[in-house]
Amino acid sequence: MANQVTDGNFESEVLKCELPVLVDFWAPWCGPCRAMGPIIDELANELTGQVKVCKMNVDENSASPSRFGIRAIPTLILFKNGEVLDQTTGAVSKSSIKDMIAKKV
Amino acid sequence: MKKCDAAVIGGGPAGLTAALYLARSGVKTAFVEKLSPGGQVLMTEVIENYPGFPKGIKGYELADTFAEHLASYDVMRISDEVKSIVRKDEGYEIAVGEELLLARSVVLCSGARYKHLGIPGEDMYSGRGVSYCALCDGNFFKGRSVAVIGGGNSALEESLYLARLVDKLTLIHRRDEFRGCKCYQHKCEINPKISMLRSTVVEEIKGDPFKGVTGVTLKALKTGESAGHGR
Repeated sequence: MANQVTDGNFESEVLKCELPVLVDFWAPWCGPCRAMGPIIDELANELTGQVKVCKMNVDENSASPSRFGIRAIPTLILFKNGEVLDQTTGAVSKSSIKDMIAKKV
Repeated sequence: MKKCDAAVIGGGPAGLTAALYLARSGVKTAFVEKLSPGGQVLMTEVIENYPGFPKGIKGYELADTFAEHLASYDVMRISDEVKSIVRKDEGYEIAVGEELLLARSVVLCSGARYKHLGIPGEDMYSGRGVSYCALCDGNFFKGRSVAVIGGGNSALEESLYLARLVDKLTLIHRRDEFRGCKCYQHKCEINPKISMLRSTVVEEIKGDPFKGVTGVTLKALKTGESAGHGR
């Protein structure tokens, strides 16, 4: 399962993490986000030790999404050492997320 | 290599129904969907035109019900994207993610995608003010001024949903008449937050690297005049 992160621990869990971090910005009322949910959890298991996979509920946390200019969900952002390596918006397949990670990490 | 008699590709209502019928007929079936089942139903707030739900049903609830219905049957579920289908003597060889699936027959239910305008600024500001799903992104535009582009059911439904959140909505359509169904047209016409621009196209989406979308450039088809339209 992917970890849920919040505005409160975003800095320590994501920006200061030693591993690259993939964050799924989602909300419960968003259909495509729900469609991606199981994939994100599968990726969290498959990438253990290589990439940390987290989810952030934008309904409950607004500071981090606005800091990264997010105005559509689902948005996936790949971070490393606090910097944005890549990002994608809209529901995408597991293989395309893996491709994105393989290219940048 | 996995083998099946029938591979259903696409997990919207059509694919779910096809897989259900096949499984019930005793056909060894694979059901391939890259995301969760439901397709575009998942992107719809309320489904009002599906028989059996006179009060309407939330899109995701209907999708969950579809998936639950199929779950009780012996169907091979594969959640990844189909990359290629190649005809072989014994059927079709389907590349799904990193695996191969051999199927004697294939049912394609891959559905539809969002239509893109193909104008400058659209890709650049996608996710930063350009959105294809009001239900997903409407909350980011609470109290703001938005433009909805199109004249079919999607544009009208999305406008009605967004009008509950935004301050002002301009519905921009390239034709004089809307294609969307009359019941939605009427609701849009009487909605005080919705104003309509007919026979007008959007030529460009303007923006700012920090703020995202800031406005659009319009062209009135009857007069040929171009004009800016801010948010």
